[in-house]
Amino acid sequence: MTQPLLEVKALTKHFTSKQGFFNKEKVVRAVDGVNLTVYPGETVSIVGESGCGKSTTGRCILRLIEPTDGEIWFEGENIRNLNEAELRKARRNMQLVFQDPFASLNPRKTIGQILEDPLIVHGIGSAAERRKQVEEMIGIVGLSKQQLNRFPHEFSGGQRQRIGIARALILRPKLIIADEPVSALDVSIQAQILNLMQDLQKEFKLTYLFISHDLSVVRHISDRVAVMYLGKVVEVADKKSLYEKPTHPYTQALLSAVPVPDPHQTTQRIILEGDMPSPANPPAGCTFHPRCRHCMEICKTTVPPLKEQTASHWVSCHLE
Amino acid sequence: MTAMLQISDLRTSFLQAKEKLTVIEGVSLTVEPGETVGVVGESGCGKSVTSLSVMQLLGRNVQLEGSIRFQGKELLSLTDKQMEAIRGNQIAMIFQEPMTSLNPLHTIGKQIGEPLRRHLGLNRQQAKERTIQLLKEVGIPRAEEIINDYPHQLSGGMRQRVMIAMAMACTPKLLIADEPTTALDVTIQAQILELMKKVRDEHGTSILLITHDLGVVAEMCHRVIVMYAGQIVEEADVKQLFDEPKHPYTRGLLGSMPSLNTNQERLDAIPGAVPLLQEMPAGCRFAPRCPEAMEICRNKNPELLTISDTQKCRCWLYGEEEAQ
Repeated sequence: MTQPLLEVKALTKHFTSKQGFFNKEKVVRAVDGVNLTVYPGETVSIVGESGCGKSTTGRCILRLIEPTDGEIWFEGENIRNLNEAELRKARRNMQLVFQDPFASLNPRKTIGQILEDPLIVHGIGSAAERRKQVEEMIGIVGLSKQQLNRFPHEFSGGQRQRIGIARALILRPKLIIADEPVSALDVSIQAQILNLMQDLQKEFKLTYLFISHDLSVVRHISDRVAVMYLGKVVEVADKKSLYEKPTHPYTQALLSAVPVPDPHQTTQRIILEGDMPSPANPPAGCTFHPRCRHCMEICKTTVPPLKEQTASHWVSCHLE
Repeated sequence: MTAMLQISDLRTSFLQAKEKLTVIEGVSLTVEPGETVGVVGESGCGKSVTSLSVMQLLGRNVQLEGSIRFQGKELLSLTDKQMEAIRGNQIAMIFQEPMTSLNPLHTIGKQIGEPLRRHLGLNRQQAKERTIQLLKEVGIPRAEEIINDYPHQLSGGMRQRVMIAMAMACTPKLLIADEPTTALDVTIQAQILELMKKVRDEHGTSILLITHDLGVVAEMCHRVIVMYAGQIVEEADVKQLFDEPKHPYTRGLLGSMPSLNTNQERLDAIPGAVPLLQEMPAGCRFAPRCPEAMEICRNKNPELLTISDTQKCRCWLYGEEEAQ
């Protein structure tokens, strides 16, 4: 059996905020014991709604946010035990593509400089070699080297996202964590970027951890999918199994809520009541129980463990 | 029967110091009583400007040409005062961002009560009672307490419910909804769409729904208008649009969408990007990105041709047959 490239065990991030001198500290459980395994060459997606902790999970894996607890094994090494110099070295193999292509590129640097920076940071090549690599990379993502002297504001959203991908790719990483990389784009541009990401994955044998709220995009790009709700993974399965036989009541509701672009189809929709509770004050037991239509007594008191229901389909629910 | 809303040859231009930028180029559309018409397109296609033109909410440096008739009455020749009497009363609007479109300094109750007092002449107590009733209708729990809350105390879904309650306050005949669910999570979007359908069916409201999401269109609309670069490129009955899309842009848009129900190897992306306003192509505006572009497409912009009783398309692929 192949070794996983990334293995996250019981990853936890609690943000604490203190309001007032005498008040007790408030704990926001943004990520609450997430386990996740990613094998080389596959695309694993984390999907969930705003505030479920999917982005925080992505950032904790890179230690851009310092996790509160848990282990992050990347290529047989626990990232959490590394000091800063070692961490920087490790990050050469794990890069991030950000959501907002407008906010994630330095407006005062040219595209050439933006793409060269990671090479400089990691001390790769001479100036001429770096230039060559930058020119090659900009071509790979579908832009031309004449554009290297331009500034980010001269590019459209889709082009900027190509630049963001080029910057992540220039170090030839093994893992790319893509945090909502196509959410800010129009659908025709979104399709271009998704195709590009799939081509690059084949060409460079990349592994993706893809974070998104869009269930259709996730279905398209993923091999396996993890559904998060309120800081916890509630269901993990391979794509086919998850979309065809969703087991957790939350996953079922989430999938049924997506409007399908087919006027002939009349799906029976499961409408969830109310909003997601605040992660500062999550419900006891199963965190989904106040909105669940199958809620039982046990759900209110006991947290359901993530169990393997069928082959490689894991669900955290008391229902059988 | 007169149409609820009839826009003919609308041309909206922004007047700048040196130039006039025409954002909407000859848009014509009709919304019949009780009908929901969707306007779809990507960023910058002019769908929002079209809706703001109807409401005349675009400010001073804007020139509106053509005609916008509401129940047969020309809106473009009304004075500001006359328009104010219609806005929020007979035509109401739901905006995309419920955070920025509610006033953060006023309570929910005051904001919903304002059109009630202004247009319907209710007194404070009557307005309060009606507000509570409206909030209950849109499914807000504890309505009696919520009216004293400020917008920041509510979640995104709740704020959008408040927006809908506010829009429905004077039971408008026409509701313009500009990306009403775009800022919301998918489970909350499902709640809001369900609510809009309920409100529509109870009051027989006509809706002009502006969206970029073809899934929302398929679910809500009777008829659809596809816009590209400030022009209508296709108009069709909703089933027709999804079954037999005529315009290459509409087909491209449908092909670009990843599906929730099937596995696809690759998406049929549309190459390139939307042209800038200052650099509009001379011929068909979609020609530079069109896989089926011909010689004529690069030189001459086609008219919006009637293909059948229920379908129109702006494309030379169909124009040639017409000419023969």
